[in-house]
Parts: sequence; C-alpha cells; structure tokens
Amino acid sequence: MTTQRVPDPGGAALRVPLRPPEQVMRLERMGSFFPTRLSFMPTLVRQICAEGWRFDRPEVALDENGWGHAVYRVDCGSRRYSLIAFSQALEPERRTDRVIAEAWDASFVLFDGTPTAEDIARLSTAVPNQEAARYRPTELVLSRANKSVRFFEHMVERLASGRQPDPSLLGGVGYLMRTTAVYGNGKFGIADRARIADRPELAGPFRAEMLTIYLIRCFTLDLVEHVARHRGGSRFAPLDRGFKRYLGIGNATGLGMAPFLASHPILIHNWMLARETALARSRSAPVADQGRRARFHALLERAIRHIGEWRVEDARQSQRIAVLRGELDTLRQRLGRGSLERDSEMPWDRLYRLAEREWSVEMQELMVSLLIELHPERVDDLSATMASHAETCFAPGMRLAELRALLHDRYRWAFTLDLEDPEQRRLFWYTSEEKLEPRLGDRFQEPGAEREMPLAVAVDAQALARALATASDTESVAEFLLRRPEFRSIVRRVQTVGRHPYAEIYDNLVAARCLPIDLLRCKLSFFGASKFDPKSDRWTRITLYQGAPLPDELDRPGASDWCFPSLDP
Amino acid sequence: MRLSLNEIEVTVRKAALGSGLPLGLAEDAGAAAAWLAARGFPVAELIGAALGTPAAESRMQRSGGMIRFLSEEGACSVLRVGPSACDLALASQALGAATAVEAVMDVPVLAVAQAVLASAGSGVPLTIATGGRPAVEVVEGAPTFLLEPSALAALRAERVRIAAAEAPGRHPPQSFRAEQEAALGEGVPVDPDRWRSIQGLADRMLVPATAHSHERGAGAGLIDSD
Repeated sequence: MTTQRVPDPGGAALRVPLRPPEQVMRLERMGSFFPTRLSFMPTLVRQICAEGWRFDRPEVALDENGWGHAVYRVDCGSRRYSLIAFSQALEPERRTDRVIAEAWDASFVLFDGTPTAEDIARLSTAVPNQEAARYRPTELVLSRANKSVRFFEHMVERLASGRQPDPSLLGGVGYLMRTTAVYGNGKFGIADRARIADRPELAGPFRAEMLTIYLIRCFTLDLVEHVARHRGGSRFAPLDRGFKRYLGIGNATGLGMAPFLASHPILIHNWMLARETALARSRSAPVADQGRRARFHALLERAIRHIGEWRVEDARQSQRIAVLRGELDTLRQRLGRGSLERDSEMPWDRLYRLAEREWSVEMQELMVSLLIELHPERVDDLSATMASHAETCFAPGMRLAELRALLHDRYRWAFTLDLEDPEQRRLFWYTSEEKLEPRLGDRFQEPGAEREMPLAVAVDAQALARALATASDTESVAEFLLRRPEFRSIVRRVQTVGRHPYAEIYDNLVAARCLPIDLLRCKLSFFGASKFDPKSDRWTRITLYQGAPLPDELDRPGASDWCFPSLDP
Repeated sequence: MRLSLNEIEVTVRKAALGSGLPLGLAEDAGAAAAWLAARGFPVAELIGAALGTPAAESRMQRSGGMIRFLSEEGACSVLRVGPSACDLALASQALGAATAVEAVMDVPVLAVAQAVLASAGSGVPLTIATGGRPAVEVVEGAPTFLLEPSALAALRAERVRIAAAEAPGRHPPQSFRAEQEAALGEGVPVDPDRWRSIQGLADRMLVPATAHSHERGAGAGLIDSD
C-alpha cells in the first residue's frame, strides 16, 4: 500500500509521508499510545480556555458525610449544561469497579440546561440505579464512581487536622474517585448523539462525556474538602492548589470499550489519520529554532518526571516502563551533547527516526506525543477532523475484480494467518446475558460461539476471498450479495477500508494471544488518559484530567499547557 | 415507553440477527428502523411485522430490464430482499444498464427507508412504486413522498418496484423536521408489548454466564476497596 502524503496547514506538500496503516494499526503499537494534544480532554480544555466558559455550583445539598447531591453548571455562552452529582453511603462489600456492580459511592448525570427541582427529584431516584432506570433526552451522559477509599480517608483525615496529604500516597494513586462507566449516545433513553452533534461546544468525539468527567473531578475535589471541613472544624486546611491540580479522576475500563474500535471504522480512521497527519506535519518542520529546541527540552523533562511517577504492578507494563525510562535517559544524554543543535535539516524527523531505529515501540509513541505537542500551530486544526457522521461506505456497482483486488491489498495481513490453527480462532467476543456487556470466551471450551460479535475480521476476510475465487470478475457486488448475503457486512467493511485505510486493525482479534488491553489503551489515549495501570490483559485503570487546570485557573495564561503532569512540575 | 434512536437501531439489529438474518442485512434492518423512527413512523409495529414474517424462500427472475423476486409463500421478506433490490437498482445504473427490481414485500415502507439510506452518497436517484403507483422519489438520501406516509406505513404484502430514476426531484423532499426534533427531544414512543417481542428476538444473541465466564470473561475479579 502506498503511504499518504498530505499538505501541511499552509497547503505545501509534506516532506515526510504518513506512517502507513500496516505500521500504525497493529495491536502492539496501538497498545503503546500516549495521549497527544489532539486527544479529546486537552482539546476540550483548550476550547474552554479559548471561549471563556464559566463554571459555578448553584446547588450543594450534602450532609457532613458528603452524602446528598450537588449541581455543577457550565455556561458555554450559547448554552448551559449541569452535572448533577449524587453521593451516598456504600457498604465496603458492595464497592467494586466491575460493571456488574449495582451500587456506587457517587453517581452522575450531565443535564442539558439547568435542572428544575422536579428534574433533580426525578433523577435522584433514577441516577443512583444507573442501568436499572430509564432516562429522558434531557439527560446527556450517565456515569458513576467509587472512592479510592484509603486515599480518600487519608485525605479527609489530613485536611481535617490542618495538614496536607502524604505526597507519596498522592503520587501513587492520583485520584479520589474512579468512574466505572460513562454512558452516552442514547443508552437507557438518554439523548442520542444526534441531539447534540451540531452544537459547536459538543461537536468533537465524546465531547459531552469528557465534559462530564471534568465536572466529576470538580465534584470529587470539593467533596473531600467538604467532608474534611465538617470533621475538622476550625482545624481544617484546604487542599494545596498544586496537589489539587495533580488529582485527576480514576477510571476502571474493561472489555466493554474494546469492540468499539472495530465497530466504528470510519471514526477510528479519522482519529488515526488526524494523529498520523499531525506527526507527519511535525516531522516535516524544516528547522528547529532556539525557542522550539528549548520547548522540546522542557517537554522532555516533563515526560521524564511523568514516566518516573508511573508505577504499576503488572509485570509486562512494569518492564516496558523500565525500558522507557532508560531510553528517555539516553535521549536526554544525547540531546545534552547537542545532537539536536547539530541536526539543522528537519531535526524533528531525525529525532523520530532515531526513536524508530533504536528504541522501543512505547518510546516511539511517546516521541509521537512529544513532537505533536511541540507544534500546536501545525496540528491543532486537525482536531476538527476527528468526528464522523458515517459508519461505513458501500458501492453495490463495484465489479468483483475490483473488490477482490481491494481485499487482497488491504487485508494482506489477514491472508498470512493460518486459521486452521485453533489458536488463531480460540477467542470469541460475545454480549453477556447477565450484564449486557461484551465478554471474551474460549471458543473450544465455552458455549455461545454461534452468537459471537462480528470481530473475527480475518476469518471473514479469508471466507470472502474463498467465495470470490469462484465468482466472475465482471459480476457486480450487488449480484454477488444477492447470492451470498452472508458476506454483506464484510464486503461493506472491505469497501470502507478501501477509502479509509486506518479503519482496520491489522491483527487478529480472536487469536489466543490477542491482548484486549491494547485496544483499551489505544482508545483511552485518544480520550487523553494517562498512567495506564493494567490489572489483567482485559481491564485497566487509568487517570483522567491529572494536571488539568482547575475551573478558577482556566483564564490564566498557559492554563491549557498541562501535558505529562507530575507531582513536582 | 420511549426509546432513543440508538436503542432502536441496536436492538433491531440484534433482533434481526436473533431471527436468523445475516449480519449485513441485520445492520441494514437496524439503520432502516432508526430512520423510520426518527420520522414518526410506528417502528415497533413495522419491525414486529417484518420480523414476524416466516423466512420464505424467494427466487429471482430476470426479464429484459426487470428483475422480479418471487416467493412461493406470498410476500417476500423486505428485510431480506429489500437491500438487494436497492443494490441492484443502484448497480445497474452505475453499470449503464438501468434495471427495475420488483417484489411483493411484506412491509413496503421498510423498502423506502432502505432505498433512502442506500441512495445517500451514491448520486443515483431512485423511485419507489407500490401497487403500481409512484410512491416515493429519493435523491441523495432525501425522500419525496408522493403517497401519504401513513398510508405507505399501513401497506402489507404489496408489490414494490424500485428503479433508478431518470429525472426525479420535481417535488421538494419532506424534511420530517418536526418528527425528528420530537424523536431527539422526547424519545420515540413505542408500544411496550410489541417492543418486548422485538427485544426477545434480540436477547437470543446474548450468551448466558458460566462459572468460567464469571471468573475470566471480563478479566476482573477484585473488590476494589483500596
């Protein structure tokens, strides 16, 4: 496949091509992504800062334990949105991050406008029950969270006695609450995405969900001070602003999120294309002036501190982090010897190629984030290209000769797989009857494979190739599908990938060695998540909005510059 | 009972799978259902009728510029033959041999939704006739109803003819703006009993839990009180 060349913002052809999908759309690489300045959280924060959105808290009805409700409101100029947060007592044995939970410390809904007392009364009985209740289109996003109990209590105890939290504990956890699900787009009767898609303030992918999480963070920071203030009385001390800014929102994410990347091909293509275009534009910058070099050094130091604070128990990720730290140190040493200054011609491309030549995939992808961060004027316009209104393409008039050529070109990776090997087909994705959530099963040991979700793309591609092998070149797709309707979905997929080359994952998602955690990290990196903390190969904890400006800091110069946060900035 | 459009699309897609349709046709069924729901059509009734039709075998007959789908048991399933009818009409135009496709379809208005969605982005205008009368013209996904939409929705087991059009668009397309705003603003009203039947078909695609799936299916097993 040919690599793409795209213009830079000025319209000139880029000197560096985009990395091809065969390189980018591999699980190992996708599972090494870091957030970039095109990720949805930093993009939202930039928009908030640029447009001067205003935040207030019109209603707080919390008792001394922090139980009750509060309303957080954001005024975007043309519209208002309100987060209604409900907080309740929860027995420790009922606190689980798994989606099978039925009660949470706190539950949330993003409301379209300012809720009335009747709205709040209605939602107070519904929202704590989450999926078990029904909602109206005035409700845009639904979520819930559990406390990080030991840390929350530590924080309350310290603030109540006039002290600040233990920095080592703060650095180790990084959040007061973890969300365990964030639902949008019509789930349980809440608003369809189409209701808000044409609103400029919510036009980007997952924009309403990202706004919700930002407001949840505000609630958790207020909640811990509220409880500590009641407990400590006159001894209470507010949380240090730097500590407060460091605290994000935790999230526990499992398999529910994984099939999304496969089931929204054009959207994923748009995300990836924007990211790869941003990288190519950054690598194509002809020179590195002194200011840009200084900025890169500063970003690198930030990244080194950030990675230095990234600690996980997972053996695979721990090993990768250790390697990454060593490589960052090597990069710092090389830059210290002036190698960047000597590279006068396309220095950022040289730096990227150095990473690709000598360092781990994780380091290469960290370099991608650094280079994109370095060139806001070259990349920021791309954030407007990341949404999608279409899911697939379909051309029934295409001749089978063309379809066959497309299939063998774009799915070359699938034809290298030996699907006679049971290990290449061992997994199947399904929706559980118990919680209506995606799960992974073993095709050869568990029932239900006949109801699997359509993620066995390589299997389908090979089956289509076999069927096409005996069909006439001149037959149309329409005629072929009339005879073989079972191939309708994969034909549509192949044609979609033909026009959108980053739409497909070039790996077998039903192979025994497939690691769903890689899918999760890819998607979460586009959200802007950091501190990936895998708890198995199927679920991970992450931190959201760590280091992001607080609502009263959003109008400060440089407020939106918060990538690679660390406790000691 | 009110539903979001996304709930309708996803549930109908799964119900179609649960009733035995191949994935691609099930995807089309879900999209057609959401399109109709957004425009005020009684979606649960229509989908219930379409999914309730026994899966009759149909065969194809070609005659000059006409393709006919014939079923030994009366009407053809629109969810099975409708997408192919649209494909063939669009493909024949693209390949320079305009062809009309005709069949007695169980729920004709679903063919209208399928034609609207199929034509979007193709650049090929389509006309749909029912019972021998022009019913709908579609240009770039925008339909002009020449028959009352409610009358079309009431049709069952009626002859439907889909063809690429030479010069349609003499009438302005219906926007269904009020219906779409109502669907997005208030949700789509559906009859609970009819919807329960559709949901029952969708539930056939669910996989019951096992001890192994509890232990391993989602990959977690922690009580998170840390």
